[in-house]
Amino acid sequence: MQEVPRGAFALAALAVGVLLACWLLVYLFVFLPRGMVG
Amino acid sequence: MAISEEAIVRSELRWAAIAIGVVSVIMLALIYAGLVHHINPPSNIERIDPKTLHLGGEFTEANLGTRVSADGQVTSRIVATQFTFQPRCIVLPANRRVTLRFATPDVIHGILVSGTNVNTMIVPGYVSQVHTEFTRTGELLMPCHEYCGLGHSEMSAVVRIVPSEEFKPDAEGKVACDAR
Repeated sequence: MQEVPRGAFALAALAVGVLLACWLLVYLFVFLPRGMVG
Repeated sequence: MAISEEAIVRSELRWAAIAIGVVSVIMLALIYAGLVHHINPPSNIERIDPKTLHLGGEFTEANLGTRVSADGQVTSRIVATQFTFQPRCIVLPANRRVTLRFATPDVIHGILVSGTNVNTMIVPGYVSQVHTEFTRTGELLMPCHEYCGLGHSEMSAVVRIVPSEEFKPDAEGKVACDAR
């Protein structure tokens, strides 16, 4: 049998996906618009 | 339920690939912001004697605030102390590259110009320098964001961004807030 815990992977992928999406939203709509600094 | 060794290893390798992919996306986003949008952490390394800031050199009281040099460079110098900024209000032009320079004679402070990426520590013995370009006009709050003592929560300054037409240096190249 080639059974793997697909449900666990799905939950982990969803959680990581949500976090990555939140990170990208803040990056695109808050960080980049705040302009250059250096 | 029979789970074979190969299936487990395959699943774990797939998940490792996803994790590496997520980290790579984030790192590429940071590199992109640094190279294309010129958003970099301030990294100036410049030493100064904190005990004699007020006696001579760049951070004497008469030299603080915004000043336009002969070659057109706009520089604003601010001293952070417990528990105020000197000067408490600076004027800067919009849509023009400006430089902010900070020094402190006492403890570690930090500043953040709200709504912008201007964010740096101010450490005694060093000059902090940040280059930026303000895109929106208005009065921006600049609080101290590094705990510096009992008065830290009251320590803030104002950065007034004015349109270029309203940014008029006087004969010495200085621009001050004044009561307006």
